[in-house]
Amino acid sequence: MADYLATALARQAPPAAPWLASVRARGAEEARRARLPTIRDEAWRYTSLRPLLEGNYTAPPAEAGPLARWAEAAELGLAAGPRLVFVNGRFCAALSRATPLPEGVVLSPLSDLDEVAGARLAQSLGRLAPPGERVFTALNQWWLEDGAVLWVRDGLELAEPIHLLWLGTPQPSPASVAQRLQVVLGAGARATVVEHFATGGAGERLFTNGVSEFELGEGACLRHCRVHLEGEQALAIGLAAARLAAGARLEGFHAALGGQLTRVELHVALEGEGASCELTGLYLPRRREVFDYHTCVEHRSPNAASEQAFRGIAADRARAVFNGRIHIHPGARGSVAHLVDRNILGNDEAEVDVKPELEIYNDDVQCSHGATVAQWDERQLFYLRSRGVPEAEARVLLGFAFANEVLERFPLQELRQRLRARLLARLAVDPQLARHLT
Amino acid sequence: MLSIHDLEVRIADQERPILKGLDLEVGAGEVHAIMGPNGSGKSTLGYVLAGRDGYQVTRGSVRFRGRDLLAMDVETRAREGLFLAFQYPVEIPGLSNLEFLKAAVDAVREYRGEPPLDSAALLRRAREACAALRLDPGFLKRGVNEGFSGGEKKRNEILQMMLLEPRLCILDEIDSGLDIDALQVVADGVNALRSPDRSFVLITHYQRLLEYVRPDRVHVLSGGRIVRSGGAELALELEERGYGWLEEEVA
Ligand SMILES: Nc1ncnc2c1ncn2[C@@H]1O[C@H](COP(=O)(O)OP(=O)(O)OP(=O)(O)O)[C@@H](O)[C@H]1O
Ligand SMILES: [Mg+2]
Repeated sequence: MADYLATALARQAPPAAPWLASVRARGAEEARRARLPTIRDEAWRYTSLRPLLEGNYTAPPAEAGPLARWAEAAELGLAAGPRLVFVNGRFCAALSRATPLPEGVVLSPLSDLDEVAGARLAQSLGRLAPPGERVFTALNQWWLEDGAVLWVRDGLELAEPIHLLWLGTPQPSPASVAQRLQVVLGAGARATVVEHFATGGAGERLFTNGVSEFELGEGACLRHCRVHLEGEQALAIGLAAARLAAGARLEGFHAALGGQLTRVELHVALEGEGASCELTGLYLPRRREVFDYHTCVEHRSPNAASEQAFRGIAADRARAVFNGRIHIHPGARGSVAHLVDRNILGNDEAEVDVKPELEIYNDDVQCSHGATVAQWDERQLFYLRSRGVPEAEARVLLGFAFANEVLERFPLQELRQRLRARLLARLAVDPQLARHLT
Repeated sequence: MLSIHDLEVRIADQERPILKGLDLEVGAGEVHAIMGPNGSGKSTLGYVLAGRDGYQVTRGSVRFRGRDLLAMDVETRAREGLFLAFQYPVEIPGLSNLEFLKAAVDAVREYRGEPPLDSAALLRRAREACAALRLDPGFLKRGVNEGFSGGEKKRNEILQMMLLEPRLCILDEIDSGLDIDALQVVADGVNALRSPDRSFVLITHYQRLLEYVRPDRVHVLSGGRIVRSGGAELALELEERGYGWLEEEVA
């Protein structure tokens, strides 16, 4: 284990602007003091880092080759709005799409920031995700080459969604890359951000180590979609940390529909009075994939509300992990917090590990949580078969129905379309079995 | 069409059988009614015929259109033309009624060697059936039976039956939970489907449905057996006298 960190730290950083160099140095410093988690650490009990360690994913990624090959993976079908594409962690203007933005909005790759903006970023980066608290955050900073920022001035509303694609390409040998996003919404500002993780082609032995930070001013509203559509050899470990001032609102939509190991940690601090968040998610690991969502919602002020609704289906020999935590601090009177996580165990060899955690330090709260793991519903299965639908297709229909109830809540028609196709491809090994759903 | 001989059925893990040597013959084009007290085994009969798991046939045989029904899996029975309208139709939120109908109609047509209906043709037929059943076509877009009222669920069962064009329709309390107008609509739906090569088994507690859909035979199922069979007039007699006198006679 020490070997992994040592090689990760030994990686040579390319030349960088002074502000970025200082961010990296800080990351290296923290990483040197840290250790990697093991399954003996509660937060990693069900998710082994073995694929990461065995593959020794520490080297910088190779060049991507001809871009035309990745153009398709870059598409999410979003008709409108700007798109920033990062190929193996580096901004790629050719695949990106710039659209005019109102005065008072900064949307930029880190590599395009001038010294002033860079200095501003260096000041605030890591505020919500301190590198000293998490070894992967420290490594993220040490490996950092590029990323995106979105800064929106008070009161501004961005009508169109912002599409951020982190695209990995096949690597000759295991490599790793840092993904980074900072969103700062001023008071009353509103935006929709889609974080899209994808890999093009097969054999993409890439580990994406991500950190996203969302700072929401008073009354600001962020719709955040994060979809993992990587290939089956990709590894992703990411943290998305948000802090909400009074009256702010975060709507998070999460989907894990690909990747050998996909671990997403969501930290939401409802800092100000009356802040609210809604986290909705869907995960469908199959074959030997492991998808892991760890959420933590902290109610730090009175009258804040949180709602979490996740669903998963684990097929084949896959494993799904869901750990949902609600933490209500002593002063957070009038908190409302609900969490539901429902799972279907597609067969006996799959595994689902769920753990809701409640920590409540005052009495004036409305809280509920429920987590279930079930098999296919026999009554539904029989109903479908009694209409002539073959059993294999009936399972696809039921899996789709179960997932679709969550998918229907996602914003952006094109995104739902794209996810639906991906979902069906996962549920139906034989595409014929999904023909009545396309 | 359907020939049941000495059928004994238990729930998988229980000693006492629910059906205890049941005999029933339903000829092509006939309408049979099965009445009987609560818990006598009427729904169990429907489920066993449709092939639901959890029931164990410990004796007897069932032939459907000349073939051994019990040897077929659930979906084959449906494709061979057996249709069970559920006493309690199942909700499948997230799957639209139309998607469900497409899958079912396609499966049955394919089995019969008929070409698949394209989406437009299926939609047209489904809309026509909705109109006949006075169901808003909006129901096609909603999740299967999701949040439907009791009466809407029953009409949705008939809707499926109309599109699947089965040979043998077992309707388990299709009349329960229907208001008077809906009962008429459902009965019209059934009558419209009557034909010389299609048979019906109506499981019901009420004579009223049988006024709209005239049965050729009425049977009383009690204690897991057919204890009395007769013409349509038997239903009237039951309505007046209940089941008590039959049990006494049998005893
Ligand atoms: N899964 C089961 N486990 C245990 N008992 C069962 C099960 N299913 C049915 N039974 C019992 O079998 C008997 C027959 O049930 P069934 O539903 O067939 O009755 P029914 O004639 O349809 O009644 P109703 O008129 O109330 O619909 C009842 O006593 C019922 O409780
Ligand atoms: Mg019944």
